[in-house]
Amino acid sequence: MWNSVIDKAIFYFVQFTELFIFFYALLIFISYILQSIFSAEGVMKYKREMEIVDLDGLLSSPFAPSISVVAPAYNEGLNIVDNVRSLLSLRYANYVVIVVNDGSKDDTLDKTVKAYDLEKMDFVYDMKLETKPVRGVYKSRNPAYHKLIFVDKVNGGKADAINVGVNISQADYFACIDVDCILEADAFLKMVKPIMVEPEKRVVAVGGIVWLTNDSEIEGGMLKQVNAPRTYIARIQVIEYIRAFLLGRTAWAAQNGLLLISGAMGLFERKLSIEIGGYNHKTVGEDMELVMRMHRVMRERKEPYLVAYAPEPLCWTEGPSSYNILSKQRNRWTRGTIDCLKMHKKMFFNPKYGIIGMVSYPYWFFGEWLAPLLEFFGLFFFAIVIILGLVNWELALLLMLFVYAFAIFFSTYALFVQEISYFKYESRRDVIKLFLTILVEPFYYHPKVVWWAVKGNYDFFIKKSHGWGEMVRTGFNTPPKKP
Amino acid sequence: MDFFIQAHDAMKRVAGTSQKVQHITAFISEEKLKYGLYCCIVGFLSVASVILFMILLRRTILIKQAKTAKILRSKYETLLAELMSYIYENGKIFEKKELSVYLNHEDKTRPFNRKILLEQILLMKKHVSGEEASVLTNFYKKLGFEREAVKKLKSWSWYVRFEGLDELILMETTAINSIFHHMTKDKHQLVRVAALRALILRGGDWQPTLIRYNYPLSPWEQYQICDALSKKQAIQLPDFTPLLKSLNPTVIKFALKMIQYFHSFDAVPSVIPLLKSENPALVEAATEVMKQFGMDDEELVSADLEVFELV
Repeated sequence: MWNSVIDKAIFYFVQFTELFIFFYALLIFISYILQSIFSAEGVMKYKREMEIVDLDGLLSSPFAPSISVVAPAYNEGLNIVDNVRSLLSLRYANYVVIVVNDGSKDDTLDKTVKAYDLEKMDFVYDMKLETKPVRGVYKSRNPAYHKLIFVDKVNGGKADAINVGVNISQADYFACIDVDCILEADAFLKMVKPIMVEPEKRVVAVGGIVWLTNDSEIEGGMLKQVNAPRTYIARIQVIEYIRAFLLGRTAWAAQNGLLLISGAMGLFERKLSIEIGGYNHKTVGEDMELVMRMHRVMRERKEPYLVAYAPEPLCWTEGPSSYNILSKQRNRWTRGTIDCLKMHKKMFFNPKYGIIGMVSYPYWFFGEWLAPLLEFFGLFFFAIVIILGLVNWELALLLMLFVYAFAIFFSTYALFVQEISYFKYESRRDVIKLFLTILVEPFYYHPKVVWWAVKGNYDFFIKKSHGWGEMVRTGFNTPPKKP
Repeated sequence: MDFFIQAHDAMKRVAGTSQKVQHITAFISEEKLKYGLYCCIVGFLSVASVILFMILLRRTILIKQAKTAKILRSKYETLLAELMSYIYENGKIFEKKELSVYLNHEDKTRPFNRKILLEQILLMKKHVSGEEASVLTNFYKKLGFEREAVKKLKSWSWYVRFEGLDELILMETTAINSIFHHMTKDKHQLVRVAALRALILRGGDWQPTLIRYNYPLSPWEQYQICDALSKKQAIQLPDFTPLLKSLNPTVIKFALKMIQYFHSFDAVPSVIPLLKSENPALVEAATEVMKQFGMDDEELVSADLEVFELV
């Protein structure tokens, strides 16, 4: 009796797992192929349009929406002065920069006050979104910096800091920018274009591509020359960013199914953001959560809307340069994803939410959250079938090679799309370096990513950890070493 | 310990059973499956290698092309300058047969050379006017660029259609406004708005076109029209009131915005009926205009305009 029950259980377990993994892998492959097609189409369409439109006229146009750039800063003393300067030199007429010092423990406040000749103002703070108390609002005595508003507040996290900025803002849209990022001078001119060309739908958010600056040349807060990073860890992140931002998000945006706009670079409609309660400070995935909530509310209201995307590198940031910090970042991303999926589980395969409920959410569930867990579980399953002596080694090896070959193809394709669209890496050596990085990724880097994601799941479900990791920066002014 | 021994035994038994059971790939023979996988692996790796090769080759070609383009640009720049001075030296515009003195066969036929030549003509046209401009236009026509531009307007690609239109607008050829009228019905927003801009700038009858405009006007199109109107050197402001009769609500909203933007007080009588519109967005926009012209809430109410719920 015991024998037959256990035999059956193991037999069905093996059969079911085989079947599940087969169809799961098939779906993932199909989704990547579709992403390749949609993204190439989206990028080329965008590029063509940008080639012919004259954005300069928008600088004096009454039709261009007003923007508040909200930059939360926590312990950013190292880069704050340069980064604020970069934000103040953007080419857009109707904008202000609101830097929110989120109770930094370093010299962020002192450095900014000194560099920009700031003085404390009397300011009525209208708390439309509930936040931690504001200690003071500063403006510069120097008219050259009239676009700068500096807010000092009690520490409450990134989401809370952005909500303070949204409360202070009076603009049509607010841009959420990481203060440690460098923006392209034309970033907002390019980001408002999708808002302006949309005739009927309400554009509630616009995302842009974030690219890595590691080992690139930066002068006076502006990007001078883009180089492929010297270290493997940074180079592989470049590949990841190209894949995610240029292929993945462009493809999702083309179907109005974009669920995530990076916290480092996003433009959001202020009115709607306030209506739906602003950024949620209870999650570390606040950027994704806001976009998901926007989708959810707009679908429930049955109002035509669009979450648009400008598939162009408009924002540059420094990627983690040590595995320790990178693991913390990825751990946080995993926890953020789980949190957002959990908060909006109502949309899961719910036809009421259209493409979001039927495609985007399930993709994030199966393709982003479940994928590393399944890979991890797959290793155990593989061990079991080895013990059972069920492995057809030739076939197994071929399947592994198939996955490897597909990974190489997909990443090289991403590199190609980058090449024909924005041509950021001018040196031939950089291209070769990036290609070699791709060849090693599945063996060396990918297992680490899977492990960090598994650990993120463990931290979320078992340890109930919901905090942010520390991010140590070397500063943009570090000169790139010669290769 | 017993449990693990028993489980291990069970696994072995299952292994024996499952070897007799059909797997999900059983519909295809193992040989065929392996062959398929081999093909896919070779295919993916080959495509990846080709892509890498293309990236590197493309760079080489681009560098080479840039060098050739630089030489050609300089050559055509001199040539165009000479052609423009021809009229002063000879008192007439050059004949078609005289072109061969300036241009060789390759310049006239090779697509890359023609592309650079066209770029140079268009670039120069932006900076000249009067007789020099007509010499350039003449040259442009004689080389068959005008015919090609008109052909481009029929392309399936919106980008090519836009290019053709842009060329014709810039070169101020004899291409008549009817072409632009036709292009205002194009499927692509950027082509439509370029045609509308052309109509406005060339003094064409743009208002009836806009009144009958079938597509919703995006803020981008509105901005482009407004920009063209600002650039058009006219003594009098255009009258936006005819647009208020359009069946397209976005056109009416645009007209209201323009009335507000240009402070066209004369348009007020035409705006008042819109306060009774069935479209709440239009009522809101009309109310905004009325308020800007100093009519307060009380006046709007006392005017018996049936907008009590809005004011």
